[in-house]
Amino acid sequence: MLSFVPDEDSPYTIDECKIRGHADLVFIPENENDIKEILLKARDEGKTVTVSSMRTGMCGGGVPNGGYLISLERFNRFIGIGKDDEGYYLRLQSCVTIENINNTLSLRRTEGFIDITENAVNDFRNDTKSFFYPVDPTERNGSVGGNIATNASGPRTYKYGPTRNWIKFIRVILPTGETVNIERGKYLASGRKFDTVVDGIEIKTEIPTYEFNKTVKNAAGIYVEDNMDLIDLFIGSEGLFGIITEAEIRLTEWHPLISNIIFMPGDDSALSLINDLRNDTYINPEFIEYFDTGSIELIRKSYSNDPTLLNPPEGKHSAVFIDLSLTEDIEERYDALFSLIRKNNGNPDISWIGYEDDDRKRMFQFRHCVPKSVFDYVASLKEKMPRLNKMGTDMSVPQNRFDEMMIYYKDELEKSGLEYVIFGHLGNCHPHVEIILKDEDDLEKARTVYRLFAKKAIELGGSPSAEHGIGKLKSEYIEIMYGTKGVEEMKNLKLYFDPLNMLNRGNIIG
Amino acid sequence: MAEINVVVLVKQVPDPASIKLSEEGTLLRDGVPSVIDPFGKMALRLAISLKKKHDAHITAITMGPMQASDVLRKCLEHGCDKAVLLSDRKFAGSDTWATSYTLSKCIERINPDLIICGMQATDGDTAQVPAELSVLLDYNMYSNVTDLSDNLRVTQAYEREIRTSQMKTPAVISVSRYNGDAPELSSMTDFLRARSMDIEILDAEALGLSYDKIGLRGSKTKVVKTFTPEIRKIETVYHDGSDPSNAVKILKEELNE
Repeated sequence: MLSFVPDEDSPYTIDECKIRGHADLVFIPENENDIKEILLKARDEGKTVTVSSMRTGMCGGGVPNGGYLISLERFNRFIGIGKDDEGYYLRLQSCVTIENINNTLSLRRTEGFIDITENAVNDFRNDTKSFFYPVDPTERNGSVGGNIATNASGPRTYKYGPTRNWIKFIRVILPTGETVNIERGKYLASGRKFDTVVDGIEIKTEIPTYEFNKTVKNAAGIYVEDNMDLIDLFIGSEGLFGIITEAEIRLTEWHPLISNIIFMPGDDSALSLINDLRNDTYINPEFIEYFDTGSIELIRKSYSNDPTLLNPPEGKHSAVFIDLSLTEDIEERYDALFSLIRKNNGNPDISWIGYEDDDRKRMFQFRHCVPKSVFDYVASLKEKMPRLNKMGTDMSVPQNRFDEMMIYYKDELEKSGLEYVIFGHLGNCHPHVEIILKDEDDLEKARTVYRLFAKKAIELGGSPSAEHGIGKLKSEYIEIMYGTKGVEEMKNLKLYFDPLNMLNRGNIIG
Repeated sequence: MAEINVVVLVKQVPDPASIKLSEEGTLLRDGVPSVIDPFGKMALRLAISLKKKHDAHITAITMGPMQASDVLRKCLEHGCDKAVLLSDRKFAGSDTWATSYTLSKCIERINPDLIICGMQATDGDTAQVPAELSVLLDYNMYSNVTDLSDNLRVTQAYEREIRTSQMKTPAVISVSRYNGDAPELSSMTDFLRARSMDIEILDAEALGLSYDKIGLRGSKTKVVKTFTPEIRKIETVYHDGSDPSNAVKILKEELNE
């Protein structure tokens, strides 16, 4: 097994939010026995262990604060395919990326796959229908294990829900070095208590008593509910309870889609169009994404010299990005969409469509340019201002409080004098506000407004972290959401599984 | 300038992003989506750029099975005025000569000022059709075209030179690159408009073709085998080259061995 001391600027001790950690040693295990060996070594030496995969996280969950770092990059193999009443599912190791999953499925590259159920690989290969994994975090280079650990979501959550809904099975190495196979539906709590045996290992513990907010898109804190499934305790727990090495993910039938980017004359017209789309029942978009005028200008400014990227049309525009399924009544649905666009002072001529893979990929690449240009900008300032990290919000609120939240964002940002762009998943009332920092003064101002936003989101019945998770960046909001008692209960649960508080220390509960 | 009459030729090929090869190196087409070949897409965009500049009337033509009409629909979405599909089982097995002959017979009826093609299609990579068309139709030929200005000055990019000249019509141009400002994606309204447009379908009889000049019978060439050249692996030997005078000695000894 490869291990090494990471350099100060090692790619292993940083993630996409650009907070820099440090580790005594980085391990790259080849198999589960290697992981167990590291855990036992860490226990004997009193070290902490942080787990990372593709390091695409947005809040430092995989960034170590000393101790050992495990990089799961070698756990990147597909294992096989199974089929049950709910359809096909894919078994794979935890560091396979979302991009790789969907490429493999679309091309049916199943060489070397084993049958999880009888003849499933052959059935899948010869099936007249195509299948895909529908959870689409915008960052498709993230690993499925990382997606499970954070219950990742993305634009398509609007239609398909978050990662949790698609996970059938996980194989987990507990901090004690024991391995458990957790199948959905097999190990259920009674009320708020687990009393069960998994692969010979007793799991007998109380679970926190707070109400986890399920009314909005929410990735803040440990998921709990009455009579919950044990698998759901691990999904979204940011690695506090164990290391996921394998998973089974459900697939769904693929259907042809047409992507549409509609350029609108201003922010208000785009937001009003989105509101109309949410209330419409006929057009039925797969997701609704928003770019404010600042986002479109940021793309224009950052990538105008890159001929591989799409250039926004001339003039000042905001934009709304939706995918529509290509059904027989697509023309009627477009007619309905055009009416809404015109009602909101837009022009359907100023738009892009794509239904071929390459065109759609380029449209998604265009969408990804907004966060990417902010990442690149922050990375370029990092040398001058090492304390800097990306300041992007990830908050959701209930639909009936959305307008109030948007006004609050704009008012506070204008008051602070900070530069910002707003884009994101407005189908789920979940925009990202990216604050564009220029100096260290801005950083302090940004932290202040960020705290105000988080408090406001919670006050309005929303979540301070809809999809990125809490990691090491946002643990202060956990106490605001769940109170001292809730945090204590989370800590007790953590210590039940990990008595030495060794694994992924610092995530969620500080 | 008066309206110019343009034909753009496109070909339906397996999506290069999803291409799979068999162990023998031949293209596996099953399950791989088809798209306009990448050079054809550049030709299409160049043709569309003439629409704004010259009020061009553009006819898109392709030859292939019925499902090749998908790429013509795409041409209509991008702003082509008309689309013609040449489809007949008798066209099967055409080499580049038989293909060019078939295309030329259709193009003759349109009598365009300009025929715009991609430099080559990614599935065959022969790059022969544009030149063959220029011979068959007695048109001027401009290859490696990267731009066409308002007054039809044509830019051709070769490995070591860029040539600009006044184009003489009628002409065939084969496009090797296009970085102009014709939109890469069509709009929602274009998409809907194209759905309601007809695609004309012509077979060998409609074109009045003699059967010994088309398909396998009309082909002058035959593909015997397609293969990937074997890559020879050469072992690399590393020596300490920090002392230049000694490095020469080491190299000499190595070469003598």
